[in-house]
Amino acid sequence: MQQPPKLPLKILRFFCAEHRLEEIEGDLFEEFQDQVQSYGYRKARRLYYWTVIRSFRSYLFDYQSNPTHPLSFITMIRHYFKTAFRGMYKHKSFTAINLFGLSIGLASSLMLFLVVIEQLRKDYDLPDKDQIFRVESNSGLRPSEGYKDRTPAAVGPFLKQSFPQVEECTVLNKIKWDVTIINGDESDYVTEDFLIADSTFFNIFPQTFIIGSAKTALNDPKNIVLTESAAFKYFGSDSPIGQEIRTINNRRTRFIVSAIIKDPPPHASIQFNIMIAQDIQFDITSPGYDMTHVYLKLAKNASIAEFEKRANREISTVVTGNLMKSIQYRLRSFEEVKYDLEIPSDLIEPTDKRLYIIFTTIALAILLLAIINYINLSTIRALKRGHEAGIRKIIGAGKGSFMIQFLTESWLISFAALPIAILMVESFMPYFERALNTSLSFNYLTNPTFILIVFGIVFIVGLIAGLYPALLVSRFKFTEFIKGNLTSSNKGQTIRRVLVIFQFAISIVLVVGAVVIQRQLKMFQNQKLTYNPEQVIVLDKGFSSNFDLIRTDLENLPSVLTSSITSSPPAGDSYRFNTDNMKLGELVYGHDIDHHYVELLNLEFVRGENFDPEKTSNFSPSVLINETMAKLLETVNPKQSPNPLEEKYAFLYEQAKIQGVVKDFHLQSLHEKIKPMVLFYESFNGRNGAYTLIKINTTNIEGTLESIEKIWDTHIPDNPFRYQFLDTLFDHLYTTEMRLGKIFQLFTAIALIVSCLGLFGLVSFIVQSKVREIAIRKVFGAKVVQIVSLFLKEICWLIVIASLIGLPIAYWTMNLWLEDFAYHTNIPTSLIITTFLAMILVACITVFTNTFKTAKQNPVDALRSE
Amino acid sequence: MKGTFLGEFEEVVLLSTCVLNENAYANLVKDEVEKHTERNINLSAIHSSLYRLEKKGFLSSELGEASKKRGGKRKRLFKPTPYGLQAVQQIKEIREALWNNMPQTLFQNS
Repeated sequence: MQQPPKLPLKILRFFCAEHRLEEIEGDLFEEFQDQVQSYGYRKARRLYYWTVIRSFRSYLFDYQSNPTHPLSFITMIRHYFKTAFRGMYKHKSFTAINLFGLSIGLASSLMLFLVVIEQLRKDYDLPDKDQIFRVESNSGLRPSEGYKDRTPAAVGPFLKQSFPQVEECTVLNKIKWDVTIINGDESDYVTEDFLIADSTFFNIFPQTFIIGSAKTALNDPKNIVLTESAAFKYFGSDSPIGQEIRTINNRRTRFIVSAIIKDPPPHASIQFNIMIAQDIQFDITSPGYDMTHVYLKLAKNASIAEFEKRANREISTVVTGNLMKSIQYRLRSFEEVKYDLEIPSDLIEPTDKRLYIIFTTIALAILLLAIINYINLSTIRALKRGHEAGIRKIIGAGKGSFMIQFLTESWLISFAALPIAILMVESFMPYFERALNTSLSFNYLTNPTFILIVFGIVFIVGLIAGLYPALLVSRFKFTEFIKGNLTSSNKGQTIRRVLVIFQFAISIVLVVGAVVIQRQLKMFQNQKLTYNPEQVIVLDKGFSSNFDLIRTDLENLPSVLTSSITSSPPAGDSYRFNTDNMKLGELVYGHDIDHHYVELLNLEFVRGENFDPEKTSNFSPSVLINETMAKLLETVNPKQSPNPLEEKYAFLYEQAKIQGVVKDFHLQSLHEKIKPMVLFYESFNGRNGAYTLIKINTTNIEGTLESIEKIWDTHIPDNPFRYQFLDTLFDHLYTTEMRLGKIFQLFTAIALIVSCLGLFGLVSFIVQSKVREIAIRKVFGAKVVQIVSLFLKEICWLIVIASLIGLPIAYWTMNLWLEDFAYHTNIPTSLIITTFLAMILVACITVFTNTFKTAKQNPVDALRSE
Repeated sequence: MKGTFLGEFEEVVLLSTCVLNENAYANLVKDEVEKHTERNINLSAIHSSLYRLEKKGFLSSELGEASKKRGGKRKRLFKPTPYGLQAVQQIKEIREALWNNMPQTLFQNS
């Protein structure tokens, strides 16, 4: 007689429930013998294996009647699940609070983490990004100005030529140009982000070509490369290659489409719609220069410090002219560039690293709050099941089995919360993205690593949340269980209170934070401008020789109070210039203004007077300066004159007289201090590129705008008419703070809700454990108010302690944040007191809703119940 | 209504058990089912059905004798419970009633 193979038999013997093993083994043996006879040994062997594998069905695992089997815990787990489900079903409100709190916590932290991940994923597909560096320059004549994101363009090719470490080098610029679309007689204008570069750009920042190739795309200054979306915008489904694109620009106006590339992915740092070629020859020996972005790709393991030193030396040997000679260079890694707020750049806008740290902190805080909540609530529920636990203990449940039971339950809840959380994320994401003004491109649901990490987090959350109640319950003695009412026990009371204090301390910090951010934002918006920004319209830059005509026509409109032409509007770009020969050691800002500017912005004169167009001309230069500039002149006093403000200075080229000094006024974000400023007179009679400021009365804005557009179109028909109100322009300066404010508010609200859920749980627990106490008190004549206040007192203590912890932390951190602003608000005592009182109020409401019902009950019901 | 419902395969297994009359154990049931349905069936499927039928109360079982052919292991003999017999009968009645009402024309062409 042939013996069946050993291995499958062993496996079968291990897994099979004992009471079934004999018959199944026998059946299999018998079948094997039959099959040996009919098919031969080899096939029978194979079939035997197959049957054993197929036998892994539920009957095999029927361990109920032999609990000693090593796998019998499967039965127990099944049992845990069953009791967990029953318990959850029985205490629906508890389960709902638990599930809701946990999923809100998970959802909000998930959302915040997604934002952080989005940032971390920036440029993840850029090859060798640790080898990419930006060349930064610092003029030795103005060291206080610091390093800049741009460098004389010729430095790039020179470095590539002279250093073998430089594998690639690209020189590029990003500008906003208007593309002209001719529509019959009319022309429309679309502002696009143009990148001016050559084919070396693709060597460092590869793009995907749909039509054309990297080699030929930019080999002619007439060539233009469109992104897929730009091509579709201009040519629809027509073939774009060979078509013409026109721009309004002084020098280069007509381009021929030579290639189409895919849009830069949203996670790419360098974004653009259109690329054109460089058409300037760079000459390192020329004393003048164009400031451009220069990016290098260095060889692996190249020593940066060494390279910087040698590059500076080499460059200084070839350059000419004082200015070029004074410039120092350094390298910044691509990663650093993305976070360096000190050097703003239009090519790669740096982001605030702290913002992401704040996000992560809030995310973790909310997650923590949710976990604490869960711990508190499930401990309460665990204690309420004293009888059940007691019976388990009698039957022989040990610490381990309690542990597994509670962990099963808490994992069940946590994993049930996960899909709810994801649903919440999915449904709130659009609002969140709008608040953040970014779209999150990371498709987290299809990313296995991310899902795995999320599962890991949920697992850990479940573990932490289930461990404490399990430990607590297993600590009780047998007799305590049988008495049943564990809820009146003092065990774990301290920890529960500490947790609630902790929750409220976190909430207090968040609330104070949210309010302070709001105050700072309010201050930005209500900053003491000498003018009302809601009343001032800024027309976009135009190129024309008719600005004086526009100004005259505008002022004939009844709704226009004044209009002024200037080179740089408030909250817009300022023209900075060097006063190196004046040795002021600081960068001075300059605007070209006309004689209406002062009136329009309500500037006050400290001394002197406004420009008079009759007397002043471009040829007899005189300037206005602000107080800061006046102070600078007085302290530095470059001419060693007893009366520095009476002197003439060569601010730009010619010696200019100071015609007047105006009070300091804000033109920039409040992050920055007011800069020394020189206002030059410009009549705007000739051809100029300039912005138009219009102060209107706000009764009929729409009609006014229409008439303004008409005037613009008659005088500058070939330039687009685009306007913005000054207040929106100012708002743009504070987008980061506004986003932060919004997000802080949202998540503070969430944190508060979660904390209140926790408090609600705690109070309802205390109330339930004291039902009889309340009843007895009532029998002895206590009033409802007295009973409620009994609980209030207890909870208020917790809030007081939480405030004592939370408020100082909030005060300290928010002061740290505020110090970042040149002009900032304070944290008033009233805010501290209000927060404290609000917290007490919130707590009181929670307590009241919970206790009132119990306190009103007939004491007989409570006393009779046992 | 757990336990009152019989699946198609379960019905066949139950009927085979009845046919084998007190002699039914997994291997024989398997042969019987294979013989009548001309299907190739894995032994584990029979086991699964038999145990489930027992759980539902259609079958009862006891351990039989060991034999050398079975490697010295005893076999579990299944027999229908009265409830099981009633169930098979009921099914048969339902089917017969349906067949009696079958329109004659339906099968003339095939």
